[in-house]
Amino acid sequence: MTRLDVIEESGHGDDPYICASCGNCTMVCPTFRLGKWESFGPRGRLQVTKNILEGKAKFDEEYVRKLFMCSLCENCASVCTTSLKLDEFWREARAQAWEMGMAPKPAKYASSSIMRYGDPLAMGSSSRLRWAQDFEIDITDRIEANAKVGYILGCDVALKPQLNDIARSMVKILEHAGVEYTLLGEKETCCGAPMLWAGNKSEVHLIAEKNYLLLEELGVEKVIFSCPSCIYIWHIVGSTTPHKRGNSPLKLYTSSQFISILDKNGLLAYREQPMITVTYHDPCISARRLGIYHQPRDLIEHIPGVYKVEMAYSGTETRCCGWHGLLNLTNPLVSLEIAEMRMRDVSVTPASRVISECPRCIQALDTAGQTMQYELKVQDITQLVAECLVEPEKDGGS
Amino acid sequence: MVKIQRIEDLVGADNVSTLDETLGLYSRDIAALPGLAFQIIDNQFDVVAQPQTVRSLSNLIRYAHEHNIPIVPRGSGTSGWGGALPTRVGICISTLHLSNLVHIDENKMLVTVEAGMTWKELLMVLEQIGFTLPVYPSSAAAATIGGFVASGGLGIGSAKYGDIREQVAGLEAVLPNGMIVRTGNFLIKEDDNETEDGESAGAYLLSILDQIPEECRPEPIDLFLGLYGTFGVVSRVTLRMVPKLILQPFACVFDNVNDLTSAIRDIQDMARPYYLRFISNSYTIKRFTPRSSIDEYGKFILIGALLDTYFQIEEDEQAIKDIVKAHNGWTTQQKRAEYLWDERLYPLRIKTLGPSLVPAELLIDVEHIPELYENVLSHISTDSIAIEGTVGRNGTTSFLAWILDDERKKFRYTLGWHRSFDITNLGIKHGGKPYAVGLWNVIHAPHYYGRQHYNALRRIKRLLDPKDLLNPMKVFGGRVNAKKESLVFGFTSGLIVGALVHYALSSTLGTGYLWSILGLPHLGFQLGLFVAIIGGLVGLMFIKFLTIKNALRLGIPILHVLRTFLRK
Ligand SMILES: Cc1cc2nc3c(=O)[nH]c(=O)nc-3n(C[C@H](O)[C@H](O)[C@H](O)COP(=O)(O)OP(=O)(O)OC[C@H]3O[C@@H](n4cnc5c(N)ncnc54)[C@H](O)[C@@H]3O)c2cc1C
Ligand code: SF4
Ligand code: SF4
Repeated sequence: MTRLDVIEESGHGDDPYICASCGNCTMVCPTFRLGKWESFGPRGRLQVTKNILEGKAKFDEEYVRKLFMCSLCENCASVCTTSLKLDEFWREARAQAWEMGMAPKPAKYASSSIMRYGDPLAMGSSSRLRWAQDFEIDITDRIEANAKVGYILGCDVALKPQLNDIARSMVKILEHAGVEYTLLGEKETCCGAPMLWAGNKSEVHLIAEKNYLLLEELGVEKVIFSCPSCIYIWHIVGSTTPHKRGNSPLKLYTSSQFISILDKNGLLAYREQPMITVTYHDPCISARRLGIYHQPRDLIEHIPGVYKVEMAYSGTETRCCGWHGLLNLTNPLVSLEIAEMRMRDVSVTPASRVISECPRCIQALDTAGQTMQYELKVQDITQLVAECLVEPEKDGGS
Repeated sequence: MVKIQRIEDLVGADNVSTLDETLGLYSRDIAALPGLAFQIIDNQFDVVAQPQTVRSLSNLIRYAHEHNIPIVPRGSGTSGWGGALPTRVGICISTLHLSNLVHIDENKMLVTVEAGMTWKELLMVLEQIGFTLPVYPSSAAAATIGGFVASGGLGIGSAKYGDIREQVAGLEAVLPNGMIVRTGNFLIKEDDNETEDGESAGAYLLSILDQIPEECRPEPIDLFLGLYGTFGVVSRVTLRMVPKLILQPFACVFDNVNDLTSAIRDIQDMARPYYLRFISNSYTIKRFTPRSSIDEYGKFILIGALLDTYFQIEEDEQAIKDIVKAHNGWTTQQKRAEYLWDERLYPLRIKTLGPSLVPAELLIDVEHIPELYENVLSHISTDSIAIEGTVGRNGTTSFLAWILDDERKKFRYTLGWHRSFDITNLGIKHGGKPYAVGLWNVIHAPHYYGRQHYNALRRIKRLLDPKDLLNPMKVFGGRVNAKKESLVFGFTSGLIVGALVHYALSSTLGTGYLWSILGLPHLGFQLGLFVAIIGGLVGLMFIKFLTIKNALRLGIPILHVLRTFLRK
């Protein structure tokens, strides 16, 4: 018998025994589709965990390699016959690997970079406002302003130049709707998600706390996130932090969720578009975990001249983009192949753009579009909305 | 001897694995077997192969045939009757990657697919063009077309359309010698050139069937339906499809099993439902809580769906309401019925309470539900059992008892398995038969298929697969591959029996008994040793030549006795 303390103490020690081996999870798992063998799918990995618990297999490098060859997309959890919280199970199994010092190097790197620089990219806080340079809207007064609405960009949107436009689009929308908002600017830090994905469970709350405390000081009541994973982490880690964010009065919104409220309140005026056909890719966390899939669709349908077609596997049945759960760092090729599989779902629709609301999905689909030489615009919902808004008067808008 | 390089040449290196981990994962099905079971079956295959085309599947089987290597077909491994388990090591052929849609003919309402496609994938395709499947298993999300067709059985839609076997219009299979044969109304595009040996294989199969007396000769297609791949590996199947009319779920609740049974009978007679599944009070008491579903907790629920035209549904709905009322039941709200219908693909939620489940499943007449139900509950405490069933056509239903247990308590769990076999025997006493055969119900195979038909099948099996290489031991039984521990057990038991016999004979006839019988010299202690060793060798040979049927016939009562004894 091998003890897997972390898994057992988290209350998931029975999971491999509860598993009915029905295979539902395996059939929806992107890494099984790629890896072809059971050991790459969740049912197989659970069985191997059971073998480890019974001393018939080892918690070795190969097992850990497969644990990290998973995008934590939660598709398995959403179809589990026995309602196992597999998302938690995979995280705890990674935490076990972390405890045993076996987490892969890229995962360790991301985690230590967050502790040191406040982001997984080792760029540091001074890079966090580059997105606002040469931006037509001056946001200086918004930084750490007292306001009821806070906007958290997330590391990817703030630090990766190809995603900066998402932040600019959100600011345009907020300005357009006349929302008083605040930004944390250089003080914004990582939400801690990559640490949790790396298995570093014990330190994540040290980071996850920071944004919260700042927002609280500024009197924020509603927080908009460009990255749905930040919200999710807020929920998971929240209940374990000293501030008990689980009971926090703050209301958390994904981009589409918040923008659709602005839209419903008549705060957004659109220009008629020249027949744009789009399809919507649901990010795993938004759809499956946060239950946000109507809002982006309602929004899209409300923009005159924009038409939506559905692709196979949408809503809670969405397929992963491959970029989640550190997979793009630990197994970049697998990650890309999953993104290409998803892009194939897009490519059979007549859409000329694919819209989403997660910076990782945007990067994944964008990269896949390039490697597949499939010309198609990949946009965040924020970008689509901002692009369709009536332009401010000084620019001579309609 | 399996030559991995050859297999890789045949199906592609990426599609072959000999990794211990992989072999282990493909050598099991959903049943958590007690360790004792591995005394009569093998721990794992030598190799797993996943052919990507029908041709490479055929080449692989031909190779196995020429080199006397056992092969076992496997879909998703979602069955629990042992049909996909290794019995003589060899090659596991996973069909999961043979999963293409081959042809759809909307006019003929037929669809041809490769055997490894899952039912859910096919459903999604059909629903997009306005059709659905007459029958699919509740394991649709993972189970393969080939796996369900090869097992036979009831599923969603069976209340109206019957067993899955009735939905197969034609199929293509690879025979034990590697020939590809097409039977029934197998539909494929004209330009398909996948199978040159189609005609010769057909003639070969007919020549074998001709050796069987006409009155019990099966149709060629019957050899591949519900026979667990013992006659051929199904490669492609032509299935019937039906128009996707309006689907209207319903659910009704009853206080007792008699009312439930009468309602099932009347609803079947008067409303032609598409789907009917009952869950008993032993089930609802465990799955629901009084707080979450006060109306259903501890009651009997009949979950169903109609698939028909608007007008017919209106009529049937009224009929169902009247029937339910007449039998003292009540219908749930529509939203609840829809929820229960959506849950049809998650029948194993109950497993969270185990964590292990030992199943026992029977096919019985609906009329017999109450007596069997009472009888089972008088044998096994309600606390540890949950009973449900899927209703078929013509007054039959499955009767599925889940026995809750914990495989981690190894000894108790092993002994507890006899309960599953006991319930099967009870069901047979009530005029039923086991739901499936696979490996674990081989004793009941003659009863399941009908003795005359079974004998004919046996003869065909001997002619088609004389060395029993294709899914050995399944359906027809055969010698078990006894493990070291069993052989030691056999030898030791024989030794002890021999010594006891020696003791008994020498104390009644005197130590010279053997001398007096055989005219041998008087040997005393050496004689005792000699007799004991002979006994040991007899015991060893007994185990060595034990068949699966005898192993089960002997083993189950022993478990029963041990459990009763230890309980006391
Ligand atoms: C959640 C759940 C729900 C279920 N619901 C139902 C149900 O509604 N009705 C029902 O009857 N059963 C049900 N089952 C049992 C099981 O799912 C079915 O028997 C299923 O059809 C098996 O399909 P599979 O692809 O998993 O086959 P496997 O389990 O892999 O194989 C089953 C048998 O078929 C043979 N086989 C597999 N593929 C082929 C092939 N291509 N050619 C020849 N032989 C082959 C195997 O050797 C084995 O003997 C359920 C099981 C689960 C876990
Ligand atoms: S989380 Fe996604 S990638 Fe990971 S095992 Fe589950 S389905 Fe597969
Ligand atoms: S879906 Fe759940 S019960 Fe089924 S095999 Fe996967 S983990 Fe096990």
